[in-house]
Amino acid sequence: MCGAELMVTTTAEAIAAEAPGAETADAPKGITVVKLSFRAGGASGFHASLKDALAGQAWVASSLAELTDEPVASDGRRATSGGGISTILSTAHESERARDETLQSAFADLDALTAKAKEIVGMAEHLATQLHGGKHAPEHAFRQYLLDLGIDSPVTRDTAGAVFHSELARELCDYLEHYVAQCGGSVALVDAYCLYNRAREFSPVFPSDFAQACRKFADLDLPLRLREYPSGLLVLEDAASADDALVLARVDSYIASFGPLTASDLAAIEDCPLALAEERLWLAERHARVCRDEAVEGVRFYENRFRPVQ
Amino acid sequence: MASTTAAAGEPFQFPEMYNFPPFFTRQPNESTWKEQRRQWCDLVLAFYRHNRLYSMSLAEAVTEPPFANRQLRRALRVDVLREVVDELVKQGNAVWAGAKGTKDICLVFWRKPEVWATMIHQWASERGLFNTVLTVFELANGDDTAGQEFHGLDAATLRRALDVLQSQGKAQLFAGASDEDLGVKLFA
Repeated sequence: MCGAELMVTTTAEAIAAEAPGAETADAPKGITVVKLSFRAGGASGFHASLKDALAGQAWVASSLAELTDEPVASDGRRATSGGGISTILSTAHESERARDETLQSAFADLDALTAKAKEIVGMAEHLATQLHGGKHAPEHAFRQYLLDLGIDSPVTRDTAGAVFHSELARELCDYLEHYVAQCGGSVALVDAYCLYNRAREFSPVFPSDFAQACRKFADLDLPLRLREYPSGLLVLEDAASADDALVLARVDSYIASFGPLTASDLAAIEDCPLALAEERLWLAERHARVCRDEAVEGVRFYENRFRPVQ
Repeated sequence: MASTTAAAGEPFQFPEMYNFPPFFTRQPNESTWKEQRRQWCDLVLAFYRHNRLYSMSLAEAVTEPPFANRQLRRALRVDVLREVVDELVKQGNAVWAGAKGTKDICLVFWRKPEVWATMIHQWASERGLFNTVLTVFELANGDDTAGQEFHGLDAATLRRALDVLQSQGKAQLFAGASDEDLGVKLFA
């Protein structure tokens, strides 16, 4: 401050006023004492500054500033002091790392989910084979539920390649045969598609692939058949009961025992979708087995009395 | 229709089909429809013969028997009846009357004009009325023809029968001041 050598002289104002006792008591114990002499004045200004520093506890404040130094830097508020490009780079790096972490944890979750699904399917199959011996209806039903849960290693385009549709057709037959039989020998293609895709879980098939595979049933001599009704309704049928004659015979017998039928009557009797019941009645109509009565209440089908009596 | 009802009092016996609801719906199946149409044609001719009716206005006809069945609350649609009449026309048992190209009114021939023509010729032969001028009105409504099948025949149908005779060279028509005054001379 003064630039000159400091002489060991006590400034009466500063030291004597602060600790007159300390000078005499502390000095002999070897505590460093600094004596400042102000020859060309300025002592009062220094004293004021010192008092401020003591009052504000400047040493505590500066150490606090040092502690909060790092977060401030990552915030980029100190970019000016840290320096241009390197700070930008490190910031970019930082956010990339955060993103990686998020993705990794997300995929770890998905893997876990897949692994669990496979486990569950495996468990279901295991239980199913264990129950195989049992012929009791509830056990049988339970076994079917388990089978319905899923398909292990389903056929995909990647695994089957060129024969994808044929392979898919085989798998479809294996999977759906039981269901079709349960539904009285025929189900709407849409229902079958939903059921099958639910079982495939993570690798659903496209509707077009599904329909294409179904069209191969006859060529591959599989036990199911795809039938397209004139209205465009697609139906999967049991090859054994796909015969028109059987449908016609059933409709005939229903009319004989229940009287004239509406499509919803037939849907209730056969427990099939309304659209399918309509198609069956229309089929019978095309074969001149029934005739219709159109009234305000709807269309009702009667036995065909117009057939010329031979 | 100024026609006597020969079988008055005796109600028409409707066929069993008349109480079968699908009879009143046009069947989409072609072979079924053909049979259904045949039965309708038979019913129309039988009903018109029984009630000695000769012409039909389609829009009115579908509101009453035999084209409507009040018990069943069913009625044939006009367009379906038109198809039935088209078939009758094809068989020669009806012709479309009314304005050209319209299909709203028709004559129903439950006996074909040729058959009427033969009957009239037969009658004239029996009565020795050849080469005598008769009015068409007296032919249908005169005392001389009372008891004959063609007595009470409606004018349009009678005219067609006489046209048939004229084309065969067995009659000659003389136009009068009006349709009522139409005269005819029959030949052997």
